[in-house]
Amino acid sequence: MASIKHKNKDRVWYRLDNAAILYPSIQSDRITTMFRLSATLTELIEPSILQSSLNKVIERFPYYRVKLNKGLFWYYLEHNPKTPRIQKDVQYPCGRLSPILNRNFLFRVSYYNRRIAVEFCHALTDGTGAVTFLKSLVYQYLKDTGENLSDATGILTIDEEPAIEEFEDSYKRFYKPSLPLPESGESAFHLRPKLLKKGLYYVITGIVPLDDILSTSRELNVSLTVLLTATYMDAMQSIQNERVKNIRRKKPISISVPVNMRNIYPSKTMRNFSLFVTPKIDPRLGEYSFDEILKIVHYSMMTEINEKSISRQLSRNVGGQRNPFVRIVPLFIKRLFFPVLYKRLGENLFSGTISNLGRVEMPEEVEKFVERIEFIPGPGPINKTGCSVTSFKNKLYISFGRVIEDSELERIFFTKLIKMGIHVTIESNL
Amino acid sequence: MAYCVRCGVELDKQLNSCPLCATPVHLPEELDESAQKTYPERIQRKGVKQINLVPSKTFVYLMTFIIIIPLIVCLMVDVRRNNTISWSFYPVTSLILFWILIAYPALKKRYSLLKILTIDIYSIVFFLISLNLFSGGFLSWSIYPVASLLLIWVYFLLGFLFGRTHPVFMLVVSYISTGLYLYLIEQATGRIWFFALALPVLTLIFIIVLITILLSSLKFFTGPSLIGLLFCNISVFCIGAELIISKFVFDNGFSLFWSLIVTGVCLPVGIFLIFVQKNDEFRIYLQKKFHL
Repeated sequence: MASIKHKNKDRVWYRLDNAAILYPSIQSDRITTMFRLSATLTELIEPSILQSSLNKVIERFPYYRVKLNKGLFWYYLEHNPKTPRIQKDVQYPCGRLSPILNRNFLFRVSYYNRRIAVEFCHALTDGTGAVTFLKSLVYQYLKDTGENLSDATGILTIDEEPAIEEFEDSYKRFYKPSLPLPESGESAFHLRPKLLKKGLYYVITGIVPLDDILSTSRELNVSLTVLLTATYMDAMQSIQNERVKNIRRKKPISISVPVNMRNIYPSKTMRNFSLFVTPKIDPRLGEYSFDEILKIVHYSMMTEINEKSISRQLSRNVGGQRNPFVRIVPLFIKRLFFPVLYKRLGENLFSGTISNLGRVEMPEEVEKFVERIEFIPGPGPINKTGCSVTSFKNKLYISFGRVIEDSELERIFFTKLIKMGIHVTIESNL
Repeated sequence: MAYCVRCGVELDKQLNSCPLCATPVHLPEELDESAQKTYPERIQRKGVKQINLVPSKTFVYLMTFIIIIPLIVCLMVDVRRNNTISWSFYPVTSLILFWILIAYPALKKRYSLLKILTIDIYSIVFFLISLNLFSGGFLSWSIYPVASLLLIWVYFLLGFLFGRTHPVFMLVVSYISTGLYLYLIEQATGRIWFFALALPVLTLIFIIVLITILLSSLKFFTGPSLIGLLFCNISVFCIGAELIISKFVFDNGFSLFWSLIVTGVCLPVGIFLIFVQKNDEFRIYLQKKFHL
């Protein structure tokens, strides 16, 4: 990251981090590579104030004030001299970025009634980076509306300079050469139905009292993520049982669970730094009961989420990027291969994604002005549905996004929660 | 508080059916339509497609230096051996043309497609004329590409002016420029066909289009009847064109053959369409039977 030493801000440029290198090439109306975080406040949003807050906050996050450009061999990010503009929110979130309408920025900030939403392109950052940005934006917005806030623990405020560690590509820093490759998975079960028209994206959010679901997971002696992943898998299993009668035609069900690598390695980066583990069941061996699934998910997460086994994945990804033969291939040829690679190593290997951002913490002063935080996954044409989870105050928000008409998976998922005695409230953008 | 009777989930106030199983809500008094929806209604954005024809400035600098090297080498070798510019004229002018086509627009601060096209076409014209001059002779072979390029430029210009100027004016301009072009070509080929063939056909087209434009401004010709009018005009044009052509080729008076076939197809269709427009009952009947 020698480039940030430049005095002249306009000349700053960044390499894409390891996770991000794929996304610009696979971007399409179907795979928009956008995900969304939103904060609902207690008062109506004042657009002019939000715009001025954004203008201040973006200075604190220079690594997001960028546009995407093509080099001969790789894409790169470059300082964007324009200022981001807030937009009105739309019915179908996570739509494809239009560089022209969006002034070349790779994220957008929109508002609707009491809600501020930020949508980030995955090339820029992961959920952790986005939630940090959202928190700073909300904090600054509240300050600009005249609230007197003094406590900013856990929030990056505009008073401080961005730290050098926030810019780094942590994949590169923690890369260990010549580790054995991770086992390659096999193609997993996918939902079949026809895709919706391009641009449509149905979101269903289930709101669950946090204490309810935590006490259930405590009873079962597993973590919240494990409980939700197992429920997701169980729902997938019942769909497959219904659709595929022949047991030999069945396919494994594996769910990709992103892991925030900042918890494993000491990193403060604000760019991508997450990998995923994939707990997996194979219905060809027979039908799994919920308890069995719970056990499998629980123990496979226990064994997979540690520095050693995750570094194999990291090593394969970064190793591929560092390979000299890969590097000298011109970008326009790379662009042909990346979508295939993404399919083979990514979406094809799992049936769904469940991304748990965890509890969003804010200082109490700020928290009382914020009603809720939601996290919506980006659309994927192969998985067709994705799930994102976040909790704020005493509620858990489980958001499903789908690009198909039928909401079978969501229905089974939420009815399973209800059968466990957990109260669910449903919202949707239909 | 509304609950879905099938799924057991609690539903948001403004939902009138369960998003999970599409079961309608059975508590009409609970339904609060006035409540703010969770997401705004969809607003279709107008897609703006913009093609960036112009490379960045840094690329221009890079290219300028890449082009300068062969340019200098050619000139030096040529001048050193022949003490004058002989063959190097061709590569040097080609390189300069190449530079103008690609790099020049980037150095202009404001550009539009029309400006770039104008620069490109005129620089090619200039290039061709200079080549022609250098190889001896003024506008000998180069008259064909030069005249064609200029005609293309006029058409592009008219395309850009479309909707901004009066269509009759555009028609007159294209009539004159096309006529001039054909006349030049005739002069260059040295055969006589302009006044006997090209000009009458061109004038025929001009008159028919003029009539169409004038008639289409009338209220009578809208929708299907305008298309009907076009069909009628096509058949009129075919008859006229065949008369002119047969007079030029065979010089044998007025005998019609192929244009009658076209007329036999187009004229009934045209009249039918005009009839459809005028007869409300018939039109509604057709709409009813054939609506998409």
